[in-house]
Amino acid sequence: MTENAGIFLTGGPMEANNDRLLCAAKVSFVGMILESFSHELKNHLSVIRESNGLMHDIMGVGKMDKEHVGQCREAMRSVDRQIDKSVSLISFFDDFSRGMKFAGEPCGINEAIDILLLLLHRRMSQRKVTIEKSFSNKVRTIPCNPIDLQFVVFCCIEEFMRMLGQGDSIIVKTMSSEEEVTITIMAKSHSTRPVEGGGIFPTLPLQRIVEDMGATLSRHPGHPEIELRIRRQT
Amino acid sequence: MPKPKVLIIDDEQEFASTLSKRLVFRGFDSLAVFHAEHALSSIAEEHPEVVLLDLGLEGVSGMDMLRAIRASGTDCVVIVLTGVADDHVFREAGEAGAADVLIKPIDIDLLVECINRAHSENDRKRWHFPNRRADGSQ
Repeated sequence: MTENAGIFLTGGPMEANNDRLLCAAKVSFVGMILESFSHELKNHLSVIRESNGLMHDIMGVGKMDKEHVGQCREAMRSVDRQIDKSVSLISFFDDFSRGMKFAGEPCGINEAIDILLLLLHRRMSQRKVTIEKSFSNKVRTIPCNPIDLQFVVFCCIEEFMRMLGQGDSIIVKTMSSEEEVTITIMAKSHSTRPVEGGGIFPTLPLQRIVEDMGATLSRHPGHPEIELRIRRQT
Repeated sequence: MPKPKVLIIDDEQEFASTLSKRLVFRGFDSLAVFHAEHALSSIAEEHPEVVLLDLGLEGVSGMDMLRAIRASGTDCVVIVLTGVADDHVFREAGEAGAADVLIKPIDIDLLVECINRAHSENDRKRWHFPNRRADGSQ
């Protein structure tokens, strides 16, 4: 039985409703990642099409002068660059998909967060918000579903994104001790303004996922900082 | 009818500059700006007759940029370029004053047809209603 089919069979009406919220929130998260991925891929394909079209245009002129040859070379380099970018993007997306497919396997915390941040790159750059990473190399694998971890980190980032603007940044840190792994998400802003209504997803499903991960989520009062602590023994 | 002057507003530099070169090959006077903050001043300085506006600009919503162009009083035609084929985008762009919406990757022949059609319609309106303002009022 798949995870999604199972969650509708537990508990009473209240719990079933929470399960539906949780399922909807996760599907929505995957939808946002897919949208961002396809948008970026389309951009690369658009450049490839225009570069290829330009080469056709130049060849259609007949005799090529030096300038035309230079333009053709630049168009070919552009096609190469866009193919490289597309291949990297698809690799990140492959890794993200593999995390969903093999959800029961030990999860590399740094790797799972890194993939998420790479897939969110376009979303962030559209808002002109930069991301800073500070990953401890002592953080190893942990028995935790990568898609759950990515969902929780995404929710925290989105919560901050709503109050950030041009030139601001989000810092994601990982640290490790014998008992737990700590992931800290902080917003660094020139003019942080308070956000009404919290994040984009209902709090209940988020809390439920955090509990299922054997983790705790805490906010620092007065500071734009969220800490996710995952116990090593779950 | 002479071909219109085209301004491309898109922060994907490689895309915008290559598309601009392709339009030049087709006889258009074409130029590109890559930063949203330069868009309105470029329109004021260059007086393009057709603007190709990407909706996914960095730091500003393309739809807000479209409204700002319309509010600036210019009577240029705006054709929206977007990677998202969504009814909501088509409707919102139309309401905000776009003449047309094209989905990326673009077919160049379709784009040229779209530019010529939108330009000649705008020109006809200008001929019939010389005092018409950009928002359609007299």
